[in-house]
Amino acid sequence: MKKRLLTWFLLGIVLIASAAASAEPHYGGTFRGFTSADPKTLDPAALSSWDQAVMAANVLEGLVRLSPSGQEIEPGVAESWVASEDGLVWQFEIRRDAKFHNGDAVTAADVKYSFERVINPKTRSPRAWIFNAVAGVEEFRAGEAPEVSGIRVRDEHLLEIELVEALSPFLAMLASPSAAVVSERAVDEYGDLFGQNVVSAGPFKLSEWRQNLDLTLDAFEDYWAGRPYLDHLQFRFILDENTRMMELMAGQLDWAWIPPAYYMQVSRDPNFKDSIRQADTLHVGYLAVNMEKEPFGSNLALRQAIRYAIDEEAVKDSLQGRENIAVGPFPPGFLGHDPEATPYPRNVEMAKKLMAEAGYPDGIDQTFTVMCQPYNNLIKIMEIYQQNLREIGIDVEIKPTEGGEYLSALETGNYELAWAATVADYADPDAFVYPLYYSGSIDGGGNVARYINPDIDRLIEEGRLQTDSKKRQAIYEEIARIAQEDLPYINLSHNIWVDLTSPKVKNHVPSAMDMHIFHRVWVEQ
Amino acid sequence: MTDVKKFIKSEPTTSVALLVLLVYVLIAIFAPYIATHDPMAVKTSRQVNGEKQYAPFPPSSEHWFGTDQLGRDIFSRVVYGVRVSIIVGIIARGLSMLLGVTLGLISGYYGGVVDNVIMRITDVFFSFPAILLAMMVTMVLGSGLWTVCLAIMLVGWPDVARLVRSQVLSVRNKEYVTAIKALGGSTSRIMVKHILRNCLGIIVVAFSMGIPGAVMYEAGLSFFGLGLRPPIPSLGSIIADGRGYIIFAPWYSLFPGLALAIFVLCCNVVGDTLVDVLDPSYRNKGR
Amino acid sequence: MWRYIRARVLGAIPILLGMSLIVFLFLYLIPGDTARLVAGPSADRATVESIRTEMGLDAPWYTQYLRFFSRAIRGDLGTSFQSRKPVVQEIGVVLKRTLQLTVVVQLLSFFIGGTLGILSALWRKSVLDKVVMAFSVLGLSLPQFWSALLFQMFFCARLGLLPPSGYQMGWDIYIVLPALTLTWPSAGLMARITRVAVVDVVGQDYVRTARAKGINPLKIAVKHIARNALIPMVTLVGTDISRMIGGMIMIEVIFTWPGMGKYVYDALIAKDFPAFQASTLVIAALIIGINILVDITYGLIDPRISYE
Repeated sequence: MKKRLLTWFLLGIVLIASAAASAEPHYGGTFRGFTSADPKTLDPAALSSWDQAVMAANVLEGLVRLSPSGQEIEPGVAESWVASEDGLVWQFEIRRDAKFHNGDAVTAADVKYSFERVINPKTRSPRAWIFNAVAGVEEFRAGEAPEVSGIRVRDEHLLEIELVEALSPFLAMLASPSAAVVSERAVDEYGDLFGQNVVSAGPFKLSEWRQNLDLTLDAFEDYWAGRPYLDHLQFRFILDENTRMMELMAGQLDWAWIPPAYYMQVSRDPNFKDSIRQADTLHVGYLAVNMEKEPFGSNLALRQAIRYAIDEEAVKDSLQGRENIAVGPFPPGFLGHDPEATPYPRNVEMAKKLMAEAGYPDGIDQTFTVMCQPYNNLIKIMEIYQQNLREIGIDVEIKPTEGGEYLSALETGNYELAWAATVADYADPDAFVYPLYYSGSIDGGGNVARYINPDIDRLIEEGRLQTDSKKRQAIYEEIARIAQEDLPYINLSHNIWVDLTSPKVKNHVPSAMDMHIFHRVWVEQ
Repeated sequence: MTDVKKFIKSEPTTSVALLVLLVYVLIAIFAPYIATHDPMAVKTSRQVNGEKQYAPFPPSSEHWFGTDQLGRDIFSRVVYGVRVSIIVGIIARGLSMLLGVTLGLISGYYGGVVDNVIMRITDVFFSFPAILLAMMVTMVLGSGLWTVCLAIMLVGWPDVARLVRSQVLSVRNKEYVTAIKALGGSTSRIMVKHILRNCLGIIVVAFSMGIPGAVMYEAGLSFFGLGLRPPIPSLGSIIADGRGYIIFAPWYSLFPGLALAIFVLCCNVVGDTLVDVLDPSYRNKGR
Repeated sequence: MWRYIRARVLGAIPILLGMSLIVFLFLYLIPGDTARLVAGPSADRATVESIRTEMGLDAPWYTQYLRFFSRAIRGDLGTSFQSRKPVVQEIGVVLKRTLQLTVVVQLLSFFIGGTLGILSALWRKSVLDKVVMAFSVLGLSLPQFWSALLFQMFFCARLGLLPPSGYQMGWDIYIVLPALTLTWPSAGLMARITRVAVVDVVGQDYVRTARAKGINPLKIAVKHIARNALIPMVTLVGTDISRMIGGMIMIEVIFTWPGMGKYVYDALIAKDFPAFQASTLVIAALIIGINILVDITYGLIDPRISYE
């Protein structure tokens, strides 16, 4: 009897211990991730695409950083910050234990150096605009001043930034990888090759980079928030989404974006169904209408007819439910999103009525081109829209257009209709409306519809200056209302990012901003 | 009639292939009557026994070849796809022939500098991987039926030009031309007549042998997303679209793939026989 | 002989020149703003313009071409837009990987295809012959991206035997699928050509004469088969490599084999002009070089041809 009790007791302890052990993160292991292409460079001053963002977010760090979910702003090398009453002067306290990958300590002077490097026109940085609101930037760029007067090193660990005018989203902008701090010593040492030998202060540091093959990052032991659990973080450059899924299912890869073709199977597979994660991304997909062109630009009834004809439910079905149907420019849960807004549900009758109102009771006797990017999954969705519009008498031709031409056409207004999407560059509603709806953003700033509305302009400016979040909510809700009424962008969908990790990966949280962070991810051995 | 019977007896495989090709041509011509559904009709989900099912739907009595991820009937799309692929193949190859035969004739007939220049140009084209050239053309001109045909034309013409040129050269050197010259006959008229007559065989062979290649190039371009504009179905584009579904909806790529493979196969079989019949020396020409 | 080689090599120069001009023009004609592409979608106008001036993209096309040309002559083929590293360096790395694949595929095609061809010829009209010929025609009729897919589905998803894509050192299991996909049509072609050549030989007079004389026809046949079949077989290797380079691009992309084909495709998609320009030149030079080699080998094997 005693023996039996003892056995059960011991068994119990072993069970509890092993359960606890497997729930405890442990250090070590390699995570084999992916991205679609070789990022070519991870220099904060040269970043411009998604492929780079994923890796950059794990290697680079600036004053502040995004939480893994992408929803919050967390301290980075700055452990605290304070803004003046008028929002013009920000002070950042640099933490004393922040270190560069090469062992040097991070100081306020380093941050100033890094920012000025990005601002400097000689570096040709695509993201230099995030600093446009800083005082003294104009003079520095024009060569009239040797430094940016608005960025001041108060002492070794105190940095002060003065803005020309208050900018609510400023902190969110600083979380961008382009605002990361880099080691001046390393820049001098590597010169032109700095992009491939980046030295910053993020949780991982560059280890091995095999061109067009993969990139391996090693855990940075001296990271101020504690070294990552993973020993190595590897990114393989795999363009083809099918290949990635096959690799993962064959055990060769630990992470893959789930293409629509695989979702059903994966969600039923007992090996994988518990490893599916999703995140509502800060994204909006829309049909941009060139407001300067006939007939759509001047005819509101036509635009509304289009929206009523579109069957976004069918598109959602084609993604097995993994998207949010847009009722405005903001994704659900985001500041400014109005859950009560009217969704323009598919209503062919209504659409036809509006067509008649617009002056085209028998449809339009012309074929229009709708530009879109040449991704196969996207083209399939466009084919649904094409079919929808056919039903009300609008004939459209889908024109898949390559990157450079696509961007140029959008920028110069050389199109009638185009499908496009905007992903927030920083976690603030301003990131959607300032580029899209602000009249000052036409010709290169992102206002591809060439939309001019003084009411919205005023509201957008107010939103940037306003610091009270309740008041901002009201402002952005109003903006959304006007936007949905006017429909310069026929807002259609918000992406839901869905990914799959191999069963041994724990604690992966996909980011709403496409900047997936692996600092707290661990793997079972 | 007995000739036909004799032919069938002696070349059974070729006969079958010819028959199959005939079926394909009929499908291409009568596509709207053969298709069971509107190839563009979208239906992304359906209710089956109270449960919601998402496209792509497997083959059934309603959809013989199943559907794609937008719920469009694959059988109908394959039928139209056959039509499109064949048309593109014929047009593209036809354009190659036009350009190639013209330049080949000029090159072979006039010789000298003109010949040299044209041959150098074909050299340049030969040193280009075909698919790359085609991709470049479609990138500059945008996708669409005519760009695809143009691209495939540019890829195919140098071969034809070389072939025609060597044929012209061999005719020029034939004795009877010298004889006619000696007898005072108008050389150019005779040349043209004789040359053309001699080239006819090789032209027909080159045209028909080139069609499956053209169809494959179109499929290749579709694979890279540079083919015809959506939603026009071509066999190549349906196969490319079905790539992601090869495991979970194999019917998607299987049927158009089979349709394409069988077509190309039969073309090759028939082409082989044609070569034997019309011009066995085709195999060694144009090197 | 050397005069011939020199003449061919000299002749290659205008071809490469013509090609580089065509490529340059095409790149220039591609719609879209290169400066904008390099800058990225979120850069503002001023940034784009400064990039444009920095890269000299505001000069007329002939100036840009001349600049490229003068640099190319000195061996500087430019810096990749994307990696900002010298293109020559990058090409060196990726070329090696493509050569690995090419060598494996050609060796396999030569021996497998050659053997099958010989066997088919010796046992004409048999089941073996029919099967080999069917396999060959099938290999040439299936679109390569489709057969690649079928292999991936079968060997990776179903059987889990092979990795579906990727690259480690080159001489390992990752090469199996891409090589398999490429070898099928090549071996098929080789089998057909070999068969035709052998059939020719077997029917020739001296074999019959040898038989009549009682000399072992097999010995003669082998010697003559070897000499006669080798010519088209070797020629085919050369032409096949040229033919294969086009398919390489597709295969390397599907199987993520980071070689020359994938490099040139990536460069084209990304509008990385220097990378694309340089890699197409290298590919063209390769094709021309291989053709010259084939012609020379042809001459060496076949005593009837002289190069005077």
